[in-house]
Amino acid sequence: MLARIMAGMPDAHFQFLWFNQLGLPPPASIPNNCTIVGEYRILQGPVFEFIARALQSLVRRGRRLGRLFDGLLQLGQVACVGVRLGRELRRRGGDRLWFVLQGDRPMVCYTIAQTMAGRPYVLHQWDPVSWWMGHRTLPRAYQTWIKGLLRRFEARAFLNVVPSAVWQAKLITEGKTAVRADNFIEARLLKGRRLLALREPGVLHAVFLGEFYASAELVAIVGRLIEHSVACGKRLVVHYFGSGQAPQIVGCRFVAHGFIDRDALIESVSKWELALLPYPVEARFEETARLSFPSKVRVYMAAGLPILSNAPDFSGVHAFLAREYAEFYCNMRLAGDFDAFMGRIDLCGYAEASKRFDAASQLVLREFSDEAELVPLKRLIEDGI
Amino acid sequence: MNGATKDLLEQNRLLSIQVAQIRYFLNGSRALRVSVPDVEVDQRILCQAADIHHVAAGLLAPSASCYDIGPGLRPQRLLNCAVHALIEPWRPYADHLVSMFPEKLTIREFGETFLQNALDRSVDTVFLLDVIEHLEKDTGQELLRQARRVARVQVVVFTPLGFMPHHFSEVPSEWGAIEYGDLQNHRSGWIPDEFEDAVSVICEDYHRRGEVGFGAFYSIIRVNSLQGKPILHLVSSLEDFPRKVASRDMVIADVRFSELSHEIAGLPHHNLVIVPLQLIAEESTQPVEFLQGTLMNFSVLLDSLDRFEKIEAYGAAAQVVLHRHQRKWLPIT
Repeated sequence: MLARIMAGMPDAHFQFLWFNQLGLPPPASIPNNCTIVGEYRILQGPVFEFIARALQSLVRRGRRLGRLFDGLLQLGQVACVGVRLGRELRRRGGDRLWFVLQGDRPMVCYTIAQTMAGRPYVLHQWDPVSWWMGHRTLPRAYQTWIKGLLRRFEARAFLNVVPSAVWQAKLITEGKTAVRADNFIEARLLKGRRLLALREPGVLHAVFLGEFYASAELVAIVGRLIEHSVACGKRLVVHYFGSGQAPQIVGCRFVAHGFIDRDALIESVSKWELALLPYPVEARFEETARLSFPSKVRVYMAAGLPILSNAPDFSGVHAFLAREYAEFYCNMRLAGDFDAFMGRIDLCGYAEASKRFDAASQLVLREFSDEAELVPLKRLIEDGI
Repeated sequence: MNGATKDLLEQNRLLSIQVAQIRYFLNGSRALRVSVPDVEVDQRILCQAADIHHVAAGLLAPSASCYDIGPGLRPQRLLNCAVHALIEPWRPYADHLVSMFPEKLTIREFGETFLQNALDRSVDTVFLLDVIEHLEKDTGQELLRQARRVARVQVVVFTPLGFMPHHFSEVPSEWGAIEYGDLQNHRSGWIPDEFEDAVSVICEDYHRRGEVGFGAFYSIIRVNSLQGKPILHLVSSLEDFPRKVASRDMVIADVRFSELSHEIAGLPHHNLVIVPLQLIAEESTQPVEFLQGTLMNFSVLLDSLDRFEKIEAYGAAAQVVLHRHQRKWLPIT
């Protein structure tokens, strides 16, 4: 998504200073107007490794003090990265900074780096910090401290970039500047398209994109679809695009397609009949559900597919789809219309599918195209100079 | 009616004929073919009238030779075949074909008789475009049986969806002043379910007769042969890579051809999966379990290597990967 934004601003040049938390290999390709000028990893060395191993051993034995010291050691390492990053930012020129926040450790690191650099910045988030922290058992006090840092960091940013209108509205209510932008779709791809629909007698072809982070929710959707397919005398095939191991479910054939180019993906999946949207329903992910907006939904809508979700009713994505895409959307957690929705899909001919495809194109053009997202973002960045 | 009006009407008629000819040229143009990935036998693609010929063209396997049965005035334009024989029984049409298409071989013969005398698997593709609806049902079925016997790769049928009444006197004026006979009458109706081992491309509203619409469809019947089977292309270098691949083929390319690299322009975008082939080749001492847990799309690579009977490797890294697969992924020391 970041690469897409940057490629969409060909007049600007971007220098990446990469806080590589997980020691990943460098990206295979980046836009022509970007250069990776520095990479920062958590400091390692024989002494650090020895101390870390000893502390981990204490943590495993349930020693509270071990956990505290382990946390402090990690924070110290992150702070060192922040200082090195801040020094480099101060040394380098450049009009403004762009921080991409993925987790609590970058939050600490960026706070230090920004304090040292003292330049206007954009803060870019695509999931709330609570999502990143939700996967680990972190002390409540630490979480509160990180959220406090984030609130101040958001307030000082000349622009916050977030993926949903709900999140944008929340930030604006708090007196912060915010714009919605995520994995936008180029308007030229949406104009003048015609649907090619694939049908197979006795088979229902569904699509799932992304990772299996909401595996339990996906299993629930597939289970319900299998029941429906069996009742209609059909077989269920789920085409999934992404990494990870698909769950083994009797009565459903999963077909792995791997990662493919996003624009080709839209064209490729538009021929099938139904898109699946599992979304975390656990209480610890409530903030994520409210604020976030999965970019797979943009692809589903750009492909003109009807969407069957298993998402909490308070989630932002459910609210959006129920409001803007109601005719082609069903949330199976809500009582009522599952059978009617599936009945419409089973009977859907080309003319109806084509109408849906055109309506979805218009919606995506209005809400999620480069004209709708990149243009305002560029304007706000220019205003912020 | 004065002379000027007559001239205008004549000009209008000639322009209409030219428009029809241009439409015919564009509809069948190979340059405009549309590829639809992941399509398997017994599946159908539904589309609009403007796309039906392009989608069908994108689904055809390349062929060096074809029999074009009953082409009428217009030979097929979906495939470029070095040997293109036109089998036309109606004399006025056959004469027109001889004069208009001297580079093709025109034979005046009924399709049934011609195919009965043809040898088994003697041509790559048999085209039956707007043919079988002119025959009684049992004659049409026999013609299809013979076409399957004669074709090495595929039989391509195009016909109205269901029975569409048609009498030779209703021939549109843009077809020009040529003599028609009762061979042009429709005698049967067909639906995609009647074609086994086929991919169908369907337009539900193709022919317009006033207020009434009739559909039309292609059925592309796959005939078993290695030439017709899909190919898996492993690409780590564009040298020798043919660039144009059939729609049911798959391309697995190295990460340097990924979305944001200009090198992706050298590859077809349909059925393309990115896998770090170079890295796999470099890590040839690593066991498969390690690679599976580490590398992007590695399980897709394994699945595809098992699934495809015909695999082509382009570039040193791709060849190493193929070699490792053939050696059951034993570490190369």
